[in-house]
Formats: sequence, structure tokens, C-alpha cells
Amino acid sequence: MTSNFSAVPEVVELHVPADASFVSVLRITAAALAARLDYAIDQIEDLRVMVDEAASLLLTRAAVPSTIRCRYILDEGDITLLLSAIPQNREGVEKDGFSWLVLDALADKVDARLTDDGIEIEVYQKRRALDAGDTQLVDRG
Amino acid sequence: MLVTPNLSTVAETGRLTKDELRDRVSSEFSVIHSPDSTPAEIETARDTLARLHQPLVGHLARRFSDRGEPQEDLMQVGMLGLVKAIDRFEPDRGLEFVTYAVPTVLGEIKRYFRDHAWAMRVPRRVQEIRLSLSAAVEDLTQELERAPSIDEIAHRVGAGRDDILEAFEAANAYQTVPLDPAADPEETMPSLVDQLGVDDPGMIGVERREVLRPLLQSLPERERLILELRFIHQHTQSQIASELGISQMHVSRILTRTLAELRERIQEEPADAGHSTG
Repeated sequence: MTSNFSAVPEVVELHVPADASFVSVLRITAAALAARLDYAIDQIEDLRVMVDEAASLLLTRAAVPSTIRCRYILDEGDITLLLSAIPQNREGVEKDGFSWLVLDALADKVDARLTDDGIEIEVYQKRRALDAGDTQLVDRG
Repeated sequence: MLVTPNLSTVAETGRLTKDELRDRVSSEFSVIHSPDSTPAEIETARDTLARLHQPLVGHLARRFSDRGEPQEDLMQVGMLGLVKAIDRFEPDRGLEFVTYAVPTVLGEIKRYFRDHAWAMRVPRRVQEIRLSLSAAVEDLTQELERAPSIDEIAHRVGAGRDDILEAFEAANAYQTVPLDPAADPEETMPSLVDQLGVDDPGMIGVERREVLRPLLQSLPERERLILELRFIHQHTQSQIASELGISQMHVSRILTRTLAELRERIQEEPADAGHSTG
């Protein structure tokens, strides 16, 4: 089957209340988009975990009540997640925690920054070929 | 949900700071890889490493807490992954242990779902859920005397909310060719997938749909219309009969014949259009 990747980046954007019960919406959207790009199941699972972790990091920092904005940028099969929120204060994202650690281990690139609009986490995930095998055996070193 | 403990939770085990923990991990690994260590020393080092990273495994296991599997089982499977990571980790490669451990633990959890809970592949699991879905929805509707919620269905089927949503989504995914709409409660007629006699429902992936789509399009107008009315609009055979002004028997015969033709042609065109995932 040929996957028809668009020549220009395609962007899907969701705004959800900064509330843990809405994280599943972000997660399912990520899974649906990855499925559309013909991602292997393992990688879809990784993506869901990453959405969870990034959202969880933002939720601990987001002002209440507020909104989490999630942009999914699809570019030649690769996915970039841009999650942002208005933080309670101008402190950066906590990079000591498990969530950051997991993101760092799973993502091909991860970054967090303070922007004019608030706090933003960027997660980049490269699409892996379907026959690349179990991620467990992939040495990322 | 969504608890975010920080590394100090890991460190708490031995009251270590993050840096002390890193040093501790690296010194335990040098014990494991030193030719001078006794088996007992190696065993102790492995135990210590496992204990130090147990909270990390707990964190990862909780990420799968809404999938309808007991948390203790996930934790145990995750710990197995952790032990594998400890045994396979090569400190000389300059990678941090956690960076290696996270995908290994997740890999083990995913494998567990695949082998035990998901029965090989997620699509199969979704497929299985979908099969029990219509029965569950029907039962619950009768019991509750109203349409059930996703959570109620998830509880009844013994699956997570995401799984149920996905199963519904999968059922509606290809609206031009829905191969397996929920069973018609009025008429116990199997779905198009069942009718086509495809051996393994788990294999009904995109590839099969891609084969089917042009086949359906190549059918004569009336045959295609009847298939669409039956499987897309879920009309009963009798409804179709009165809509087209023919007898129900005739509708039945056309359906049987058309499905047999499709079945034959789908077998003539095996997996060319698909990739070799199965």
C-alpha cells in the first residue's frame, strides 16, 4: 500500500480544557492521525504515551482554568506535536521528572520553552518503516 | 490520574539526589560488568538497580491503566522489561540507562498486550471488541432502557474507554465501504466480512479493503445498490425488496450470488495490494 503523504505540512489543531479528563481526546487524535499515516502499531503506542506525558507536564503547570492547545503537524509522514498552555508562572517545564525522561527516551526530538503565549512542548516523531521490527530491539544510541 | 512524580521519587528509595542516583546506577553497572565480581555481588547489583527503577516502571505501567488490564499485571510485565534492560544494557555505549530502559519496558508492556490481551494485533483486539460490541450495546439498551454510555459499554465488554471509541471509530472508518457494520438486531445476518468468508477477521486490514474497493466498484449497478442498501444503510432484505419492487427471495439470491462472486475474486487477487504484515 502506498501512503499518500502530502507535499506540504498538514496541521491539525485542538484546544481542550486543561483538565486530565480531556487528555484522551488528544491521545486518540494522535493515534488516528498516526494510523492515517500508516504508522506501525508499536509506534502508535509510543505516540500515545508521549501525548500523555507532554499533556501531563503541561497540566501540572497550566493555570486553572485554562486551555491546552495541541497542534499536530504532519510532514512527509513524520509527526510533530506542539502542546502549549498558559502557565501559572514563568517557570520552565520541569525536566527532572519521569514524564520528561520518558519523552526524551521515546521521541526523536523533544524541546520545551517559554514563549510569548505561554509554555510550549515540542515532540518530534519520525515515522519508522513498517518492517523496522520491534522498537525494543532498536538501539537508539 | 496523570501523576507526575519526579526523579526524587526514584531517589527516595535510597534518599539520593538525581546526580547521586546517576552515580549509583553507574557503579552498580560496573559491578555487574566487572570480571572480578562474584555471582552474589552481581545478583545484589541487579536487585538494587531493579529497586531503584521500580517507580519508573510504575509510572509507565500507569500510562496503560485505561486498557482494561489489571495494574499489578502491567507492573509485573514492566518489571520483567526492566530486568531485561538491566541485563542487556551496555554502559560503554555512552547511553544513559533510563534512555535504554524506557523503550525496553514499554516494549515489554506492548508485547504483553499483543500476546495476551490484544491477541496478536491491535486491529484484532478492536475487531474482537467490535464483535462483542453490538451484543453489549443491545443488552445494555434493554437493561437500562436507554442508549448506554461508552463507559458502560467498556465496563460490560471488559475493555478500556479508548478501545471502545476505537472500535466504534473502526466501524465507521471507511464509510464508502464499511465491511463490518454492527450486526443488524432485526435480522441475524452476518456482516459483509463474515459473508465474504475471509478466514481471519484479524487480517481485515487496510489491504483487504483496498482490494475490495475496486471490486465493489466494478459490480453492475443493481448488485452494488443492493449491497450498499444491505451493508451500508443496513436495510433488511425485505426493506430492500419493497424499495426495488422485487421479492425478498430475489434480493436474497442476488446477495448470495454477488457475495460469492466477490469472494472468488478476492481470492484471485491475494495480497498484492497489501504489505506483508501478516
